Parts: sequence; structure tokens; C-alpha cells
Amino acid sequence: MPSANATNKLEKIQVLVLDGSAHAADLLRDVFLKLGFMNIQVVSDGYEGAQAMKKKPVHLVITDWELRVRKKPKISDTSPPSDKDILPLSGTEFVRRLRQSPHSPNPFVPVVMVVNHDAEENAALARDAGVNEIITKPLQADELCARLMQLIDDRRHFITAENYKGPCRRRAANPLGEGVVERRQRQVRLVRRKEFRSS
Amino acid sequence: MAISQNLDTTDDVVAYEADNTLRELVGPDTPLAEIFTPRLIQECQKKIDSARDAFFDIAGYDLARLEAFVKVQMALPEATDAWFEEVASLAGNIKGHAELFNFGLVASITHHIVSICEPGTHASPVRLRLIADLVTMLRIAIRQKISDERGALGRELGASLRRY
Repeated sequence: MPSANATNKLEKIQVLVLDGSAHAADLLRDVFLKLGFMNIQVVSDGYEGAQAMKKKPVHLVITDWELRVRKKPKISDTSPPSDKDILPLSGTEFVRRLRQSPHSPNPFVPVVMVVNHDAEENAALARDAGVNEIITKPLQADELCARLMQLIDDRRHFITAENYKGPCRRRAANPLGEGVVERRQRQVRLVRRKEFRSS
Repeated sequence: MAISQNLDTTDDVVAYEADNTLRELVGPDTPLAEIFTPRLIQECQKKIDSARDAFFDIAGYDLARLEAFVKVQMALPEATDAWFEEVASLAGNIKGHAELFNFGLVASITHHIVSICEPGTHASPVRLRLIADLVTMLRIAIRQKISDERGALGRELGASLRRY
């Protein structure tokens, strides 16, 4: 068991788990509880995920590659327009919209995706959707913890470009930091996060 | 961090500072090795292994629900979209569970059940027959606890179905 002090360090983190399989979601929740996370919300599809993120802040998203795809609900005239923008969703589509939609509750939130071990193209698609870290099945505790540790200290910039929004896909510690001047010619600039918030 | 100044406002690529929220919540000076200790990781792995060991028992319960659902429908001439959706949901639950542990054959069978449930794949009676046959295969795979961790059987099944 983690020490009381260490457990307290994780209990402030609000985790959202998305998995189309109730059993898989339950196992993920149990493992996260064991690790010391205390606030874990489980949903089965991207729509519920987006709704959950609108209701309260989420600091970490764990999503399966495949989510339960729900039928598009009838949208009444009084529904906010953003509801149209989030259905129906696979795991990658959920992440892509989370990153890119103007209605996204938090485009910067760190996302871990669980993908099948034998589908390398899935990992590439997940990365291009804006996922921070990828875990391959079968689920292994050491890999999960390694990814979580990497995520907590992830110093990669968050890139917004025409065709991509998400963490910088280069794994270097600070790929833009020293080369900013040169990169000016390629129209890259660094801005502080609060600048984005206020814009 | 240095921030580049006086850049053209028409920049089409922008890099924001890395999100530091998780580190702030964990504590700026907290060594992660103190949280994610080898012992804790081992305990989590035990939890995963125990769930893996229980997979075929739990899948058996899910299968019983699926079988009952299919059996009732087989007596009727045609299935509704809602019925196919429910079958896809039940099979999808087993699929996700199986994939988490790399149980290839169960994952493959349930994957095909879910695919057949998608509208427009075949005429309703053909889909019903295929689903019934796949559920029978699923029963055998679960009862005999065929793990198929390398996925060879699952791939073979997929190839056979494609020929079909």
C-alpha cells in the first residue's frame, strides 16, 4: 500500500475512465484506487465523457481505443449546440474532439489511451488524435505506472496547428525551446497558457 | 521559459507551455518513486492477474445473458434494430473484457458478433443465423477457457469469416 502521505498526493487528481466494457472499466477503476487515486469517474462512451467533463474539472483521462458508440440522441431546440459536436465517438474521435472542438471543456487535459497490442496503426492514430500516452493490452501494472509517471512530469509543449492539436509528438525534452528563433521562419511561436485562456 | 516576442500574428502553428496541473496536484517536490513503489506496482499487478484468472467465470455469466437473448429471438421471424444493438452491447462488453487480457479467440468472436450487428451488413435472417453460430463458438471458447493469447485462432476465425 502507498504511504498515507503518498496517497494524499494522488487523491486530488480527478480521473475520468472511458471504457465500453463495464468489466474492463471496473478493473481500471480498481487499479487506480489501489494506486491511491480517490476521485475516479467511469463512463462507457464519449458522450457521457464529454458531459462528465463539463460538470466538473477532470485532470486525467484514461480511455479505451473502442468506446461504446451510442446512437445520436434527438437534439431538442433548447439543447446547446455543443451537443451536436460530440456524437457518436470512438476513443480517438473523443480525443480529437476534446482537443479541437471549440466547445471542449478542457483541450489540454492529459489523455492516456489503452490500445490493442497487435495494432501498431492504432497507436499512430491515437498519437495523431492528440493522446499523451499509450498503454498496450494486456494491461500491465508496471507499464501503467510508467506512463502515469511520464505524464505527471510531461514537459512537452501543447501544439495547435491546422491539422493537429495536442502534445508535441516529438519526445525530446524541450524540442522547441532552444530552436525558437530558427523556427520563426516556420511560423512557430510559444505562448503562455494564460495567454490562451484570456484570448 | 523564454517566450518569443514580436512574432507575426498570422502564425499558423502555436506551441503552448506544457500543462503542469498533474505535477502541481501531486506536489512540485514529491518524488514519484515514493508514490509508485515497486510494492504498490506488484499489488496492482496481483489485482490485474486475479481479474484475469476470473475472466472465464465472469464471461460465462455474460454469455448466459447473451445466449438467452439470442435464443428468444431465434423463434421469431425477424429481429429489430434495437435487438441487434442490445446484442452488440452484450457482446461488446465481453469483447472489451477479453481484449484487456489478450484473449484473442473470445475477442475475435465477439468482434464479429458486434460487426454483424451493424446495420446493412446482411439481411436480418442471415445476420441472425451468423450470430447464433458465433454465440455457439463463443460458448465453446469460454467453457474450454481457450485463452489464445497470441491470437492465432482469432485470426484464423477472421479469415474464415471473410471467405464466408
